[in-house]
Amino acid sequence: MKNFDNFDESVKNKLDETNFQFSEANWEKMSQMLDASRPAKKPFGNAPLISSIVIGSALLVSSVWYFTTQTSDTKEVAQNINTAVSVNTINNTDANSANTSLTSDNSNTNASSNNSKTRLEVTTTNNSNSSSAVNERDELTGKNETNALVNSSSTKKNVSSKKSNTTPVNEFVTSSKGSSEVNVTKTETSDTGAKVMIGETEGAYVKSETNNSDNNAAKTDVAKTNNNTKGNIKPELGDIAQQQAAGDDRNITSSDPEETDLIALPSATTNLGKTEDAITAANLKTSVEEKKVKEYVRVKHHTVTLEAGASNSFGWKVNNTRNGNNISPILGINYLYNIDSRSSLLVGLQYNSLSNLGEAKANFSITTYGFGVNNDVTTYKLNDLHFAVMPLKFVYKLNKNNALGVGFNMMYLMNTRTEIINTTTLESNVTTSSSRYEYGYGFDQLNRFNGQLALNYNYSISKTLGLNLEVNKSLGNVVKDYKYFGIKNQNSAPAAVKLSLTYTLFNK
Amino acid sequence: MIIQPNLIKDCINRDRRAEYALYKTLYSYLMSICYRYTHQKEMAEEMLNMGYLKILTNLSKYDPDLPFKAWVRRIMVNTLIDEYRKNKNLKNNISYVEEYYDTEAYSDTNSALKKLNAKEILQMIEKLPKASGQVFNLFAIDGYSHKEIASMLDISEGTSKWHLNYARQKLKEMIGDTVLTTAKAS
Repeated sequence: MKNFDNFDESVKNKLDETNFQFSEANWEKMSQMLDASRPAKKPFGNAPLISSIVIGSALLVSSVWYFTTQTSDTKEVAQNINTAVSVNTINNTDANSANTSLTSDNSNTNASSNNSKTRLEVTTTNNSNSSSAVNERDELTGKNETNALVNSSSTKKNVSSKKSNTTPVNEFVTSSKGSSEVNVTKTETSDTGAKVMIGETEGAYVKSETNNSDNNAAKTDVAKTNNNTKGNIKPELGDIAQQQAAGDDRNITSSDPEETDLIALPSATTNLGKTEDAITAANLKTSVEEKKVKEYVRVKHHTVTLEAGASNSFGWKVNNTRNGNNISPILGINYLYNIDSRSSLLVGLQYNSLSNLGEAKANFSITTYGFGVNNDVTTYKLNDLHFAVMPLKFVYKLNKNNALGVGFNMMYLMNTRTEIINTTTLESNVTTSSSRYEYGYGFDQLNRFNGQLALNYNYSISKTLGLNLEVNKSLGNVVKDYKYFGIKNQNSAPAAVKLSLTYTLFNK
Repeated sequence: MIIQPNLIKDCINRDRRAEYALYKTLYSYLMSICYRYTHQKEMAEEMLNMGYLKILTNLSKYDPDLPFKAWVRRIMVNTLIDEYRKNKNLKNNISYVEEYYDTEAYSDTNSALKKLNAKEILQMIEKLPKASGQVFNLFAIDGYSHKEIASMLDISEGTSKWHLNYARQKLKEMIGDTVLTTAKAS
């Protein structure tokens, strides 16, 4: 039996000398088998990245959709404008004062105020004699009613009738002592604090009063303002022209304010009624202009910006060598929700990278004992880390051009680039070396998720361009397991300075 | 062949770099086992991958107190035998033969064997009848007992022994012929 054992041992020893050259192609097959057998290797796969992109995209798309479908500015007005309605009241003592009518184009009024909680009531007093008080009431009614505020120098009562040019309805204004009054009742809206919302009209309404000493005239001035007039309230120019042609000497001025952030109103003034003995147009205009005009800032709630720049990471020390210190490009898109004229919330999606991870390398040595001794060393050296960054910040505008922000950058490690260096030393001391780059190595040794505390300063160069300076500090380590690379675990949370330009895509 | 302890741990953690490194480390060793059983390079590579997948899958069950090489060999051989059993039609080809031991002839053969290289030995094993070659591989090279071989190949222990001796006899003849031919040539 011993002979057999020796024979078997001899054969075995001989067979152990067998040397098969490593086949990279076979490893590729092996790698595919491993991939196929491990669908659950990465429980979440790229889900965080994909979901970030989906959420970001959804945010942008919904914003765009919101802007394009929003047809009324009343929301803005409601939130931001304190508007006064002006009522020019002329006290006529003339018993024979002329009829006064407000010629707001009532035919258009019903089309207005789709979304506003607005009702405008305009009441004119038609005095046929000193004691009469005939009221004409026009209602410009929105969908939702609000409390009507009636300005009158005399008795105030509600009138329930709809518009009527001639028929006196329930008493609205009781003139006293022969005076005739024109009352424009203004409406107040809403729980949002806006004073006036007239259909799709926004703006300031200036109340003015004119005391007319001329008893022979009755004049009603209604100064009103339209920013986005759509034929709802503003007298049509055509109508005005007709009125003028008919000898109606009402003073009519009309202008549309420019669409700017700062809007000064009024924009249209209509003077109705007989004027020859009464206040001249100039006086009326002056009376309007002399009134304090409220200015307001219309807040554009949604801003989308593109951002591009560079980030300088200061890295961290490993074995007395600084790692992770590099300048990398920044590219991204941000969405700002402007809470008010000063405060905003920012969310975005950006790309960033980290390089120069020189010490994060691992060696694997293989010694093959064949006919000659081969020493095969494979070095895996992490080169670049690619991150998706989602900034979440609160931005406060110090003034028109300067803003400060504070927040958190959520970082997700999307991919890595690794240099694989293969060095083979044969028994004859002949060394061959080759290197290649591959993606996707080292995730187990790195933190996939990380965060940064960020402070930033933004300077508006122009309406669309801004300069952004950010200082941030990682909250977690970039390298999770330095032991893998034969290094004692240590801090790898870098600080960085980021300088970028922002371009406002739209601002609504 | 040096297996770093961390390498196994990293493979358990499914680190692809470590898996690659281990694969490269084991490649020649596993390939030699596979080739002995399959006699074809392509088939051997295929079997190697199947075995390596099992190795990685079961790596968490590996007891570090045991020699890694022996553990790997066992998994690889089991894989090869499983595959062999799927395709075998041994029962029709194997008949029980009484054990045959020719103890005299092997002394010379052992010395002659030293003059041959691994490739020549492999070629000789390749020339053996398939079942005999498998039994020889399992018993002589991979260290299985006849009882284990009988169980693995679904044959009796006696049949396993017969195949072993048949393989040895044939190998002895082939070694003798090869050495003789070489001597004549030189």
